[in-house]
Amino acid sequence: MYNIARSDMEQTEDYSSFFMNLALDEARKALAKLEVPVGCVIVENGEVIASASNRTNETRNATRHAEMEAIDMVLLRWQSSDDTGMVSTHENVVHRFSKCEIYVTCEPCIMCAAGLSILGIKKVYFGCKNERFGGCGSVMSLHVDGCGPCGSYSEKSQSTGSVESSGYECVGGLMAEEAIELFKSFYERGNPNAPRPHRPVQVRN
Amino acid sequence: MQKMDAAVGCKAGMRRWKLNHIPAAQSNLDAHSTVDVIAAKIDPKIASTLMRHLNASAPLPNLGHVKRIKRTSVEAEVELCIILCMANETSKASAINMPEEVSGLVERYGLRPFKAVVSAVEATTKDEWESQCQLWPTSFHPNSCSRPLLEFSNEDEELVAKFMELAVEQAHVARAFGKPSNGAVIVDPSSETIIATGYDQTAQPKNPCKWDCGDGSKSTLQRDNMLLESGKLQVKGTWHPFKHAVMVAINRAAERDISLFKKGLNILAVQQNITQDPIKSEDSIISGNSDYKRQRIEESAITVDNMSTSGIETNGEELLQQDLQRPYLCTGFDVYVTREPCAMCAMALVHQRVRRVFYGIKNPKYGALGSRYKLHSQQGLNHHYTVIQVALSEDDLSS
Repeated sequence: MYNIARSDMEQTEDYSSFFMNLALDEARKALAKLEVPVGCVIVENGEVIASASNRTNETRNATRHAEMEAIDMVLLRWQSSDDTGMVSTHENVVHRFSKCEIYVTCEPCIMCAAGLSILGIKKVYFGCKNERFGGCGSVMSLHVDGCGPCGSYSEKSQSTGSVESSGYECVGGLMAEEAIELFKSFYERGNPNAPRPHRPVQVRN
Repeated sequence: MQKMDAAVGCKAGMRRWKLNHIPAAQSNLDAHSTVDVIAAKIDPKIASTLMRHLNASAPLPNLGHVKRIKRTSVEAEVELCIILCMANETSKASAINMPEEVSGLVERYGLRPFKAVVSAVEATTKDEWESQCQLWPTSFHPNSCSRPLLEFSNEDEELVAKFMELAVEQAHVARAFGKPSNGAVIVDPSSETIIATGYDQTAQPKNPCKWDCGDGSKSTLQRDNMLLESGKLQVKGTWHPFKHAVMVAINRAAERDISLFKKGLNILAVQQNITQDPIKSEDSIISGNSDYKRQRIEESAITVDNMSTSGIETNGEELLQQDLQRPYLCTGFDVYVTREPCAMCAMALVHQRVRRVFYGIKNPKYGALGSRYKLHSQQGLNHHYTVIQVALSEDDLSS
């Protein structure tokens, strides 16, 4: 894995570019597999603990965005190394995610932005804006509002209700041009799984 | 905010739930709001020329639902009026301000502009549409399927109640496992088929357990019920912070799609190759597909028939027929969920392209379909579904 002397590198542009480059590598892998080219890495204490890309076409599941894939990897990783029960509760998971950052090539959509709030992530770095679906400022601002459970569980089973949703810090525009280039390559070829448009698609430059 | 005029009672067995449409219109506007425009009577001969000029020089981006030309018949003579541009709100009633291009056209064709009133937003019901057209004709697209989505017959209401009952059952399963009581069901309304079910699995069980991420879960309502009945409640359930009922149901719908149609997709891909090749050169979308198709066809060599794991029995012939109806994600499907979805779940349903969302109890704190946000009225999203609240009570979910 990628360990970096945190004290030296943190807060510098090099530090964040390093991880965003890894996220872009993931996005390129997605493009090669004919998936929408978005990639991300999750970093805990300067170490990449998960990297993933979009798998919506392969899974026939439009919610399998890069962030969701990476989050599942992190949970599996923690679980498999967890003999002390440190991540067996929602509170523990939130505590551990509060030390994690995510680098994603495109602004998280509303769903992912809400999910990252549920996990209590520390900070989100993203590349290009997502004007159509963005949940970190473009369409909605879930990094400010936060998100919680569906329904207010008033009963005793409110084990998840005790954790309040939270906003998180968000930095956009990191290596946005590279991310946009990947989208252009993808859409010029056409999303093979999308329904055929009624009118011919025009590629804008 | 306006309640749906057609709010109706809903009855099934002993239960009776009220249906409320949660309209997607902007909060400060309803179907009766109007805006002022500048219009003029025109000679039918110049109608298409004027349309072309006006669409270029004075487009009406916020009035997509309004027909640009109004046609009336006066004693067997057709009279046409055209909207020239929006009226400047600050100008006095008598003064008419128009963009330069528009005044040019007025001069060239000798038009006499006047102020007219048109509806500000698209109608959501047939009644609204008819009253809008008294002012100026508008278009009305109730839905993409054959029946209006908001007009419920008695049979429809019974179906809504039936499917919501299933979602309530799912919520009860969650409760029995000591999890927040929320359940969801995805239904194909065209065949009244249940596509997938899910219940909340966000709370950790008493005993430590394995994570269950995505594809791993094969549990079904039947299996859960069997466990319940056999008294093995302490079974090590699975949990995940994102396993809200809606997310679980969506995951299962996708798993069903894969297991039902995996073979079918390959057959379909081959068929498409044959039938669509002639137009290939004209259609950039299709021609861009060849890599993808090749990959899919290659996959067919290693496809495994995993019908048995999904518990769905079907023979080859049926499978072949279903191939041709493979849905794109959850297009055309309805979702029933006992609690108002949060932003994560509501957006997941947009991504998955469901047709209608029926939800039960409102979620004032995080609800994204009427309470805190109105995701279904968010401009710019690539898909919008219809939202209807089925007024459940907490008692329905706890009894």
